[in-house]
Amino acid sequence: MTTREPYSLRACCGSYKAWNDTSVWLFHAPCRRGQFTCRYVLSENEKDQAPQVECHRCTVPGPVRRFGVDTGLFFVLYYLYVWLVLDPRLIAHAIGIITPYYPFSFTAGWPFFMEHLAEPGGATDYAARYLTALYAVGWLGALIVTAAAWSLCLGIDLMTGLAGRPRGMLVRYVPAVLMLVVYNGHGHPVKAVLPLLVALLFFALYLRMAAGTAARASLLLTAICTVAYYVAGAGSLLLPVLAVIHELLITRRKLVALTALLSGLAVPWLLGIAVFDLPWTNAYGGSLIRASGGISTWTGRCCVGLYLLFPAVLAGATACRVLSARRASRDSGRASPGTRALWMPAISHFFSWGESRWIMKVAAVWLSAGAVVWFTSDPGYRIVLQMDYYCAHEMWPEVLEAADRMPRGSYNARCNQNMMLALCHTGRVGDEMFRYPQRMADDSFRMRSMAKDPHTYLQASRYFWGTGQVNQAELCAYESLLMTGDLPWILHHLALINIVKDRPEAAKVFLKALSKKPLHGRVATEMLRSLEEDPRLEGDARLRQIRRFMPKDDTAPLAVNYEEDLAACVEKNPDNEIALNFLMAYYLRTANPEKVVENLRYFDDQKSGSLPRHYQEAIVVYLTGHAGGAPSLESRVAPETRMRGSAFLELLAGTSNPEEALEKAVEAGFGDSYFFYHIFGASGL
Amino acid sequence: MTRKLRRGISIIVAATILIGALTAWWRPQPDVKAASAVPRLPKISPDYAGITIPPNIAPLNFMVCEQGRRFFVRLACETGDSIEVFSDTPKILIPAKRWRTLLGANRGKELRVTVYTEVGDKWQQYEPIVNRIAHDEIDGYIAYRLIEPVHARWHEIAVKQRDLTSYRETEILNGIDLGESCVNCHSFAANDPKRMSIAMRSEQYGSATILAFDGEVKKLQARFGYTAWHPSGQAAAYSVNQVAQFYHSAAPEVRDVIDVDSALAYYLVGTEDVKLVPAAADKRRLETYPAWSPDGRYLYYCSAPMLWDDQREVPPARFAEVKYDLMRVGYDLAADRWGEPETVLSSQETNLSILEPRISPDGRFLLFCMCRYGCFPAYQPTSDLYMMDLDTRRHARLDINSEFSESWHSWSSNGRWIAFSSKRRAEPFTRCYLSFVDDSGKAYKPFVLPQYDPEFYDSFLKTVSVPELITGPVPVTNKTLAAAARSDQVIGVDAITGATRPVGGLPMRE
Repeated sequence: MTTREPYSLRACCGSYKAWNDTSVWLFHAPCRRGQFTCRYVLSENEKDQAPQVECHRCTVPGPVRRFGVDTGLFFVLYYLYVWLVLDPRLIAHAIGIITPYYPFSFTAGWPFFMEHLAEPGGATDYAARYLTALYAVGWLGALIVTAAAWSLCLGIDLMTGLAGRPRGMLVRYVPAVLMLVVYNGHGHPVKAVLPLLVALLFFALYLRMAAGTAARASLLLTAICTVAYYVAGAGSLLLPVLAVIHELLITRRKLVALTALLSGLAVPWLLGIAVFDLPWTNAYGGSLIRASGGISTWTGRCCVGLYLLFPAVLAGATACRVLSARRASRDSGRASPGTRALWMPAISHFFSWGESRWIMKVAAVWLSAGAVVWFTSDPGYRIVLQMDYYCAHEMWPEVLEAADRMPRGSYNARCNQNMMLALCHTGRVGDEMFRYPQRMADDSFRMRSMAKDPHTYLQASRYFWGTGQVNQAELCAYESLLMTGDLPWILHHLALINIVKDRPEAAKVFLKALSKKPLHGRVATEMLRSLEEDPRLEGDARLRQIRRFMPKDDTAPLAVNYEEDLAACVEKNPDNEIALNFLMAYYLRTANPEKVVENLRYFDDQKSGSLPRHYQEAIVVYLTGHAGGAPSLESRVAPETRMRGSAFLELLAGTSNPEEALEKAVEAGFGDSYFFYHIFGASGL
Repeated sequence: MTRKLRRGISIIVAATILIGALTAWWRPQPDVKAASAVPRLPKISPDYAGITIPPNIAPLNFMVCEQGRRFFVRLACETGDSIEVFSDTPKILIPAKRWRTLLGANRGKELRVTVYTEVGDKWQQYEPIVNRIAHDEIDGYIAYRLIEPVHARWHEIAVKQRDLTSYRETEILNGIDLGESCVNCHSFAANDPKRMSIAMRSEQYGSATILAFDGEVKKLQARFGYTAWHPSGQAAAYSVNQVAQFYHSAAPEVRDVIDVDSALAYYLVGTEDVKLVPAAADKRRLETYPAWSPDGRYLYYCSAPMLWDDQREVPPARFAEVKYDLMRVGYDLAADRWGEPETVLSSQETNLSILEPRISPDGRFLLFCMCRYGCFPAYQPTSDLYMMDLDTRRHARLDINSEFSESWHSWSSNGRWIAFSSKRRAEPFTRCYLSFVDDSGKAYKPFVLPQYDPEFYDSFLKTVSVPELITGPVPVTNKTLAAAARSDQVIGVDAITGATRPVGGLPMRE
């Protein structure tokens, strides 16, 4: 792992310079590439022994661990976790639901780009928006997250190296783990992380060029701070902070430190407030915190932590180094070191990457990171997002698959609506509806009862769209658009709605807007081409069908009456399967077997047992209450369904109270049946 | 790497960059003399063919919607150097300075736009598009409202102004600065940007009207609806509307709006009083859309009988029967005295609802909308623009209408130009159009407000409505207006206010 190649400072033709007192020395030497000046704080003792230290600005072989297998493995695992567990597609999908979408909306083209160049931080903002759009491709999103984490890790190495500490200290993994914590909380810190990386980059650039007189370094620093502020906005203020610490504690150039401090205060004022007319809160960092969702949010707190970590590491490591050097100097004159002198080096040794016990240390670090990640993860909500994501992409079987994995207690109205959409679109309502939790009180697709986020409106729009109620679908889709912004799937949906409504020009506007979204250009362009050839897209069977299901007679005001609207849809178009599925689901859910039976006329097949299971169960329940019911109905129930109905009734008769009945029914496997739901008002148990 | 080698590489890199830059910059002029003729006009977007243009308008950049590998366009007039644009893409961007010079030197003359396309190795020449450059300039600025296609909720509503001689757009007031408030009903006294009012509706800062008069900004407690400033700038007539929005189940336009109740009031600047217009505050009628005659002696407005007793029923059963008449009432500002109302044009005569009257600055013409029913032409596909000669009281439908909704029109200060909103390009997106009006009141083929990027409207998801031509930029900054709007210092007036109430369908706003 490590290269033991002694690196003698004496060979570097450097010079020692006493630093404040005679026991601490500052060593200036050109590194082996001859480009930089390395400065090390050394004790008197180290100076005499020609200490083996690493040149932290270049990769001169030294006795200290370089980027090794442990780091590589850590980031490979990191990448896999982000890709396969966190799933960047869900991170992207959560934007607009958990975090606002407007700050992440991206549009290709010069106007959008130029708009961003017209304000400080616009460049990183633009990059953040673009990168966010790429999260829609899982592996690519994971790569972006991992690259950012790895860059932050290098940033910590830079800090520790500056302080004369070896690179590869444990703290280097903290930013990466913090990022995971944010992502586990469904945050999206890219708008905070990118400016931070830019600040670190400019700080490294400054270090490369800062040699020379204090005046030159001051000028250079001011210039770099200005450029960094223009590129990264308030996030770049980390740069002057680091420069102050570096110049005060390491190089001891008070003039430069003062310049850094003044730059940090003056540049935002001059560039941000005076030139670009920003509010002072934005000029000095408010926008950065707001971009993370505010300081009160978990993401915001973690981002602030990330920003504080770097100066803390630089200051801490420098202070630690100076203190240990002074102590070593004092201890060298004493015969027997005290207890403190014994444990301090031991701890210090453990936390630095020495050769010994490194595997143990790696394991400890990884376990800690794993524990943090484990405790902050929220797998239940991740499945909720998965269902949403699959629903937005009309991946109906996947919605149901995700619903099967849903932990008890995480199920909510949002999941139910996704699941009902999936069941109706896959035609599995009659067979599987009660496998999933259903509650009689639930009121699907009524806007009033829904949480206000774009996806709930989109769910409603998809419901109306599927059943052919196009004007209502349009209304909900516009609400979704207005609430969130130009999310690609909303644009696509609105384009389809306008095509069905014979407004190809409006559809083209949405498709042109969609074509400017990264990764959606091809689909949009193909649709535009098709529209040019056929403005009605008559070749698309689905659109043709919806156009046929659309109501022809206008009524106003448009009022939502779930049952009546669906019944009207089915009445006019008995082959409107989705509307029929929703209608039957409604009657099943409201425990209305009479209506289920009444609407069985829409199911042609009279063969015994061919009806979906729940409809047969509803017939059994109906016949129980209507002795001597129609023989034609009885013939449509399979013998095993009748037997199960009898068994359920016997089970109920054999119990003394409802609680006991419920328990026994669940034990007997009736929890997923209409029999059970009809009696207990719940299912999926 | 030796110094020599490094120098060699540097020279090669520099030479490559130089050659690349030269290649990109210098193109041989296409030889179009031998171009074969195509006997028809070329298709261009936006449609800038056969129009009359103001001599001070920004360049009308356009897309050539014809097949071709390369494109060449020549803009020529009777005098001055022609402008030639050669492009590898169908996007034709006209140099602004030369455009201004050419138009300035050829007022009242023709502008011929000849389009050439290179198909294969041969150039094709289309018949020239002939536009006319008007003598009369259009006002330098236009103020309009930018808003998403709002149904029940909104995100950002902004009133913006655009320099018509360039493409520069600036903000007058943005609702985002007021916590996602609604800002609308901007109105100017006689096209004067120094005398302006904007209504606002905010949960946080209340409903009010912002007045910006000669640099002084005030916040009035009364929220002005549709507003018309007296030409003297000493009074403003405005409507107070109890608006209800509802939705259609199968109509092409989902949205509809009805005034359940409305009346006209007026605000006197000197005394800061608000009063009802006696003749236009009938409890059994709906009055709206005030418009002053240029001499300030008459207030024109629209009035319809209220066909319902219960104002809570939304929409009322007979909402589709509501048709507004065009009325006017005399007014003496000095004495603050109103005359008797008279009918200018009856809906019984037209069998259509008459809305949004606007009188030309010379007082000769009255431009208005008519649609099948109701009070909100922007949501009525049947809404068209009509012109009435006020001397003869004869009116006629303008040729500039489309099968889609036309509404929200305004006159330029010289009465030679009108701006209006239309959905002709891509319903439901409203765009702003400009049209020349001659001495006889004839309106010429309109053209869409030009943008630097000719593809701008193709993906623009906002609507541009209520365009008001103004003679210059609003001198008060958006920050000042926003600060006034947020201010607690409100001039209290005894006002009648109304609020939009979305009803029926999907009541999202709970």
